[in-house]
Amino acid sequence: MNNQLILDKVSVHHQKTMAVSGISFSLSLGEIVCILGPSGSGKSTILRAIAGFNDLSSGSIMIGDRTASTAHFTLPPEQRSVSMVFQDFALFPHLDVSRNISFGLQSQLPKKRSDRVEEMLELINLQDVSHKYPHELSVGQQQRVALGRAMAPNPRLLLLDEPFASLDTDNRNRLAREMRKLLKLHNITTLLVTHDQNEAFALSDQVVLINSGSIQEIGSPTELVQRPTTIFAADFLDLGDLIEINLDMGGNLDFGLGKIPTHLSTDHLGKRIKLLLRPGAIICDDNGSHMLKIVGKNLLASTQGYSLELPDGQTVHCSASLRKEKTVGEMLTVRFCLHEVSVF
Amino acid sequence: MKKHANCVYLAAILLAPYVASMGSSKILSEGELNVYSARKEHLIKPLLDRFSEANNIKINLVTAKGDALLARLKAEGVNSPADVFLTVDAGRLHRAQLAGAFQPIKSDLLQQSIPAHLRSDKDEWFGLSTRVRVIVYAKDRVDADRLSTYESLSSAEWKGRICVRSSGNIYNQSLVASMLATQGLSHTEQWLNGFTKNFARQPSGGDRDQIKAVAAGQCDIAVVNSYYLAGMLTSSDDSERDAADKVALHWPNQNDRGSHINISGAGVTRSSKNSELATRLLEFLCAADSQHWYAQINNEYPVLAKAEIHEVLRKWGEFKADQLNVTKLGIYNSDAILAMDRAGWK
Amino acid sequence: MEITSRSDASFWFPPSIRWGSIGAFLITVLLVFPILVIISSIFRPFGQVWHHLLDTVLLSYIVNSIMLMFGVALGTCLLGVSSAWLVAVCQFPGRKTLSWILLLPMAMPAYIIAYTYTGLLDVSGPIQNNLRAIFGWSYGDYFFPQIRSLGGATCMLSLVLYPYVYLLARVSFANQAGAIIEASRNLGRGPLSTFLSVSLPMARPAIIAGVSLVMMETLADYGTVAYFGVSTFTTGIFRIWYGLGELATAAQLSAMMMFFVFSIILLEQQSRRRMRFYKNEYRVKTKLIQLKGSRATIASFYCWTVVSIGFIIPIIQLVVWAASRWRENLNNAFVNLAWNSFLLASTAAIICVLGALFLSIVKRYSKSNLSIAQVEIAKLGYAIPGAIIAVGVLIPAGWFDNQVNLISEAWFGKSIGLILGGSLGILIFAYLVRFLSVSLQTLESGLSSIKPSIDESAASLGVSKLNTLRKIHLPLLKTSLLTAFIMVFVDVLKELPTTLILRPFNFNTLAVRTYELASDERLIDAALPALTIVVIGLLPILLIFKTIAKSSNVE
Repeated sequence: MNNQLILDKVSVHHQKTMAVSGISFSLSLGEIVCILGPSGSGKSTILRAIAGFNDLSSGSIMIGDRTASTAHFTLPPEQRSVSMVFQDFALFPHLDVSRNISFGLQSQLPKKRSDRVEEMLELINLQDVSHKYPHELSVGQQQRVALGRAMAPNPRLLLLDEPFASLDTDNRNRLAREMRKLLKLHNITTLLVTHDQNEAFALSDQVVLINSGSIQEIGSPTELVQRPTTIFAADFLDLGDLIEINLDMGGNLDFGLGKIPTHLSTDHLGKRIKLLLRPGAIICDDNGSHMLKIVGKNLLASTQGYSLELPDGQTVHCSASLRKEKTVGEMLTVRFCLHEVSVF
Repeated sequence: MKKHANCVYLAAILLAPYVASMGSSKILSEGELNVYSARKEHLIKPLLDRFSEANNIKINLVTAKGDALLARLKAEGVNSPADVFLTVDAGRLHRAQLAGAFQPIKSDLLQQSIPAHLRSDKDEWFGLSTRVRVIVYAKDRVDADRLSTYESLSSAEWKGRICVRSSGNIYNQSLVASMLATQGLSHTEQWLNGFTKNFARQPSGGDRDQIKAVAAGQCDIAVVNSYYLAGMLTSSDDSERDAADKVALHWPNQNDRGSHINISGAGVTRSSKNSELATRLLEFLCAADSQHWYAQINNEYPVLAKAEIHEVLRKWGEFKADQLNVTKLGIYNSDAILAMDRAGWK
Repeated sequence: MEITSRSDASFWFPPSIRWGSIGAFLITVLLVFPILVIISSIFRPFGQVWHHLLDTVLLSYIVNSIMLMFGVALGTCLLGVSSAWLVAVCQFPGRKTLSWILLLPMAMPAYIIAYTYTGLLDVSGPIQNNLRAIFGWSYGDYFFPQIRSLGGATCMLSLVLYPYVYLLARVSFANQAGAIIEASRNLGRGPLSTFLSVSLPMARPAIIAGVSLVMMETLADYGTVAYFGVSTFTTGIFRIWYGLGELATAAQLSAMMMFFVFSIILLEQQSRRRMRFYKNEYRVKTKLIQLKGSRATIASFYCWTVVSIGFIIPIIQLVVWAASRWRENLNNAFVNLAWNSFLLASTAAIICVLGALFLSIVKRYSKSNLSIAQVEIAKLGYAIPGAIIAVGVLIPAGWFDNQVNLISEAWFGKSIGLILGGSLGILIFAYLVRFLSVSLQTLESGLSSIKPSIDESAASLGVSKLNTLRKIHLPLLKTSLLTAFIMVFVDVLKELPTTLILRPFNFNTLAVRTYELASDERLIDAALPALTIVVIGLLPILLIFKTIAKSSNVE
């Protein structure tokens, strides 16, 4: 196994309250994994436990072939070969760019050190500002310095804490793609933390979805989007409309509009289920068999989005061509296309 | 609002004494005398109080280093409120005289009571007490017969055995000034070179510290003012008395010019608007009663021959004092310092 | 938050700020005047004495002063920074108590601690006496460090001056962003290396501010070095003035000393011109390092040792001395003396803080180089021995008084006596000249940690400058104002030469009384006033520390 990081049933307490519990996952060499979750879900706690800033209350963390943390032992941060890029970058204000980058290289010979700094400066494309102080840089430049500084000592593992939080939205996706290219090119094992799924999907190979201190799901971005197994995932990832509905013994759904047949597995027959209706599950079609009342609308880039009310009062969404605009209160003719629904 | 009222109240409390005192420093009524004194408050104030009661006048006092007071006198010029300037060293009196700070005083009483060599030739200032610079030695380690003069302390026999305070001290300066006046420069420098080589330690501390160092065995002899030894002998602190008991006093130069003395003294300032009253204060300080108190409080010797002296001093017996005019101490003071610097006396 | 950034706010300020600038200009001119009187001595002919000085003692003055100054700077840095770091970032038993106890030596005048330790450790003191008695030694048989020496003076001054460094460094350490420390840790630096290469350099402005106060106070110290027989620049100045009667030469030496201090300050500022020092904006408290077992004991023991040597032992010695004579010395006159000292110190402190507040506010809004230069010169007063300041004040005050009298004689035919000379006003003015630097330094650093954008947002809401000051700056500056107040209060309480020279008739303070008795070599009688100075100095420290502790992260 070339696992760079293994978390085994990790729990961390803050004072007396449980912050995270029973966290297990692993990273192999060169893999980029993202811990995704809402704020307060404990994702930063996991990152800090891996960096060695939080003690474990149970479980263990292995970095490489070394046990880094157990309930009784915490390897000091400086011996872990783990570099972190902080949310606010935490650049040293009293050091210029070069010396920020060379900060983690103190054990190397001066010649090697300056070579490495040059290399990193080139990598992050900041050669011309190497003698500026952090406050003299733009936010984007500061982020690159922080990344360069973390990568310079060739850490076994790179940790990114909300790396794009300080940047404006326009730049985030572009920078995320650039960063992924860079990390992959140098085969750097990376664990990042974010609450923004776009960032997570753009950057990572695997996503660890967590909520309230425990793991909800682990999987590749595609798996997560296509086959979410928890309501939380469906909801947090905003995959579509979640509605509650009865499934009769014949496998038909009852929207109060007449029965709609499905191919759902037999486990759910005769139960009230939670159904995820993805965009595309309800299609605006003048030849459709159902009429739903429009309760709201919002203009999207190339289509018109409508909020529609089901007879039992639940709301679903669908989008329609801009040409046939309707007003709120009118009825819209739709048809259901339930090939890719998920049931919980 | 309440907060503001408190602030005003606080300000009023804080400022009241200043307003009062600022007023008082300006009033110069007939029955008021202002004294600038380099002699410490507790060594002069009781006597001033006595004068003020007897004559029903108010006496205002401010004490500081002589030179600082002289600088203040000079800056204030003709408008200075000071009537009397009192110092603890002839050199400062001489310096004040040169600066034109004093006015000549016609007083038969002062001229008769105070020996001519202890007052200025123009009668601008008068000595009020004398202090003697003596040799103190360890009873158990020094043969008193080996002690004779200040001059003899430069001989190799005393190498590493002498304690004395720094050359910044005025009494060391005036001792060297008196040598310059009597022996001349080259002789004095030669003596200084030998004397400083005999130091047991870097000069530091005060005269009492030198005596204690002799008692503790760090050195065998020390050159100090006699009143410090007297002060230790009468101290309420056991360890000071013990230390003083281990040493004895030697009057230097008894077979030639006599032991070196300096004075404390006073004059009436040129700016004084009350010179007649100020002269009366000087005369009062020179009276037998005052002289006794003035000298005794600090274990000094009075300038008035018939005044009583302290019991400890009586026990030490009579001694021959240098008859050099103390004006010379002022004249040679600067040269003394330069010479001590050159000799490396810290 | 940026500490050294200058406000860009002037453009939106109405022209009325000009009046503030003019007021500040007049105040600083007044304050700088005595200093200029001394500096101007440089332009007078250099007398004969200079040849003598150059030939003989000047070099040793310079060498001793520099060694003393850097020795004390190093000593206060070691004591102040180490204790501040322990208290600010480590958790160990007694940490909270120690955090204010460590300030106490500040109330102890250096000359008093010198007296007490000499009493204890000198060759004739109880320790060496007992050593000799117990082991039957005589002097010279054993080694004992000489307390009256350059090293001794360095120790004494370091022991009482380190709280200046401690006070400022502790706040700085406590406010450092946790993430920066953590960043260093996971880049492979251990706690010690992180402290040396991150915490310490980031606390540098605070430490330097403390150390520069310490260095100035050391240079100006006369009592300790004179008592220990160490020839420094200051003792040289007095030797030349008192001994040779050459006040002009003494002033020239003082002026040279000022240039020396000035160039050091300038050099330091230049060296960190481009750096910025941020404070922890998020108030994310750095997690305290939990010390366990022997480490906790050592940390606790270390801090208590510092306080014991700097405060508790000398206090015990003073109490023992004072107790033996308190019946003779404690009377109404003494109570009056203590009250005088307290009033004088608090008035001077209030005036200094108000003056410093005004100047620092004007400096914040005005970018004129002239006003900045003036404020910088006004700060030099701290490095000048009090007696020299007194002379610098005496000369212009005397000139003023004499002119007024000339005029009044010409117009009204009679003189009106001295107006300034011998008044408490002139004494307080001299304190202002000498101690403004202390309060100004504290307030400037407090004010610079308030973002200019706060002023701007207040202005955009239509709040006047005065109201901005009252409602925003003053509450935010509370800690700084109180700190400045304590520092000046304690300094004035301990101040001696200026008071001695400039005070009005019949006006005594505790410091004067202590000095008169001590210089008469009556240490035992001097103990009661000395002890009282310390006790009165403690009152505001304790009181104010409580306030600061309550709003501990205000700055």
